Parts: sequence; C-alpha cells; structure tokens
Amino acid sequence: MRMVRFLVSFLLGCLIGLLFHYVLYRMSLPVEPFIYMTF
Amino acid sequence: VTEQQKNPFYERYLAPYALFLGIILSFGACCVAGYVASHRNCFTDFERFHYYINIGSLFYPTALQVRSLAKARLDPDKIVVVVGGSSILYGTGQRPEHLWTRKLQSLLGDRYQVINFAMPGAHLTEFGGAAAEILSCDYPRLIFLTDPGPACTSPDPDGLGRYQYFFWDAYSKGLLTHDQPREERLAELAVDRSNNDKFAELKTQMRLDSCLYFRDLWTTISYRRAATVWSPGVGSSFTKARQHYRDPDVNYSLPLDMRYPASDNDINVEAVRGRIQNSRKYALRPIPRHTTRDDRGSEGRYTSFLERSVKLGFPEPFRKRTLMPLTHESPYYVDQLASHEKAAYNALFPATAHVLEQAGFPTIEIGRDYPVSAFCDRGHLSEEGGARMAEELAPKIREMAQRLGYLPEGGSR
Repeated sequence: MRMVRFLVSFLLGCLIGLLFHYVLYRMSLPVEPFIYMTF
Repeated sequence: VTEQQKNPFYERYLAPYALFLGIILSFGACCVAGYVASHRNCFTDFERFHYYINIGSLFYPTALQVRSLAKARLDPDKIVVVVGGSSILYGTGQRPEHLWTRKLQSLLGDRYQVINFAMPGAHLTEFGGAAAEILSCDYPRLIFLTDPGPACTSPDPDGLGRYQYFFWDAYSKGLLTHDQPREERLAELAVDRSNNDKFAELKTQMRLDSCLYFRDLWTTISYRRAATVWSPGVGSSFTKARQHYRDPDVNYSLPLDMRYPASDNDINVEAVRGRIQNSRKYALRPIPRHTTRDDRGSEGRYTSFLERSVKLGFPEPFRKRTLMPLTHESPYYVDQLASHEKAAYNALFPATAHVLEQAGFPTIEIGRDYPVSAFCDRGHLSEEGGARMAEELAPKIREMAQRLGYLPEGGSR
C-alpha cells in the first residue's frame, strides 16, 4: 500500500510538473493570432 | 472525531514527498528536454516560415530554433545570404517552388547559400535582422537582405510589437552582440515603457525561458508531434503537427483583375499616398527633442527616425553587409496618382537611399520600371517580379561579397 501511495503521488507530481511547464509556454502566447493584411 | 476526519483524502492517498519529487523531476526533465530540443534542428524541408509555422497561426519560432535550422542548412565555408524583412522578401504571392530566393540561389551559384527568414508584416530589423545577427558569429561571410517595406516605418531596436518576442528571446539568451548605442536606447525604452505591463511581461517571460526552455520544447513538439494551439487558420485540425502542413500561398495564379479588385482600388491608392506622407512626416523627418531627456537622450544623435532606426537596429559591423532593396508599389496604383504626387513618390526612393547610404547601408531600387504583371497586388511581387528582383540583386550581392573580401583574390563570382 505504501509503495502504491508513493507511485501514485510521484506520477501525479510528474503530471503537475509537466503541466506547469506547458502553462508557462501557453502564457507566452498571445490570445489572438496576428492577421496579416496587405493594406 | 472519526479517523476519516483526522486524515483527509490527500493525506490518505498521497505521499507529499513523492508528489513534490515528481513535480521537481518532471519540470526539470522538461527544461532539459527544451534545452536539447533548442540545439537540434526540428524543421524539415524548410523554404520559408510559411503561414502554418509563423505567428499568423500562433506558431512562434524561437531564436535557438532558427539558429539550429541555419546550422543544419548552411555551410560556414560558403557566403551566406540571409533574407529578412517583410512579406515582399518573404515572397507573398509566390509558390515555394517558384520563390524568388530559389531564383537568387541559382543565379548566385554554389559559392553562396541563400536562406529566407523574412516574415509577413515584419519591419526592417525585425526577426530576420536578429536572426542574421545571431548567425554572424558562426558565419563570418554573411550578407543580409532586408527591406524597409512600403510603410518605411522605423521601429526601435526591438521592433514594433509582433516580432518583439524574437528580439527579446535572442537578447535574453545572450545571442546578440553587445552594442553600446543600442544598449543605451534599450535603457531609454525601459524608462519610456515603465507603465507598459505587456512589455514587462514579455521581458519576464523571455528571462524565464532563457533558463527553463519552455518555448523551445513546446514549439518543437507542436512542429514535430502534435500542436496544442488553436487558431482560425488551422481550425478543427489544430492538433496536427505543423510539419505536415504545406506552404499555403495560393495567390500566385490570380488573373490581373482579381489582383487589383475595383472594390479595393481607392484604399490601395490611399495606401500609396500614405507611404509618401509617412516617409515625409515620420521616417525621413528630423527627430523632435524629447521633452524630459533634453540633450542626454538618443534623439539629438541622429538626423531622422529612419537613420536612428537602422543604426540602432544594426550594430556598426553589420551595416556594410546589409543590403536594402527599396521596392516600388505596383504601377497599377502609382499611375493613378496626380503628377505632383507621382513626382513626390519617385523622389522618395533617392531620399531614402541617401539616408541609408549615409548610415552605411548599400541600397538598390527595385521595381521602378516593372509592369503591372510583376506584382500580385499593390506591394507584393509576383513570380515574374520576384525573378526580376533576383536578377537585379544577384550582381549587387556579388559586388558586396567582393568589396567585403569574401571572395578570394581575383575571384569575382
């Protein structure tokens, strides 16, 4: 049971770490894309 | 008090140390993966940063990705021609297989290597300028091409907004050369923009990214594996990896009446008039003194906005190897101007060339005698026009290479 608890916690932590890294990337993007107009 | 109330859910099923260990390890692994990804070229079959791999579809190539791409594509023993600037040099309206930069490559021959880093809507120093500066350390025999664009606007060293991210990305990662006048201007801008939250946020993001590499990792994943960012252009297939999208430029085959729609005629003629006004009233106009900086600011050191823009945008060693083609607009609209307006329009080019050449930049006027068919709209060259531009630029580039000492003694080609 302790091992399962450790493993679940570790995997959840990995997911949170990954998500946090991804969120930093998404925050660096603007909400709307640049639409190029010729005039 | 029951056992369950004493030990809430997270305490019964989660081990805090393991949780935090997982967060730290996976976050650290992502940073390492981002660092590794940034030093490997992810782009395949690169011709230019087309719609699906540029900011139009919310894909933001990073400074290190551009450097890795160049390193994978370019031979340091050859003379490297980096094309920057706006959609005119990007080749809007030209198919990838008939792109003007391909023609330029074939005209210059094997001794030269041409790479197209121009971006739609970029101003003369934006994106391509920073990219060329990054590459100048690895490629000592480099020639850079950029155009001031139809608007002839003169941004600050970090650009006007859309491509500011690229400058600060390169700057934060220490990829740009040190240039004292530019540093002083950036310090002035930091004061001028002290209330600009977006600018402060951009700088913080780029500083963070220079340690954590989140933009490099997730942009690479978007290109190679699966994209996660929706934009109107990608629609429901937004998860498709960007490497599977083809260059979508399809305006090349439009018949003449569709290139110059009657409904947009007035707005385009006004845009040509706007270029005259803009150049006279802004780019070529003397810089007014700053109300608070007096003679301590950068204003008094330059005769015009354009001069300040190009001198601060390109540190001194880059100026003599930066060629600026000054491109005309389509005669379809220019010929609709009154005779005095047309004279003013034509006078704009020598005046701009004079400022640029005084600042140390070689220039070449492109398109004065081009027919209507050489354009695919008001400002963009068609495949026919692109090929003509390449023919005019090739001898100028060879001449520059000769003057810069890039060619062996007695070798003119």
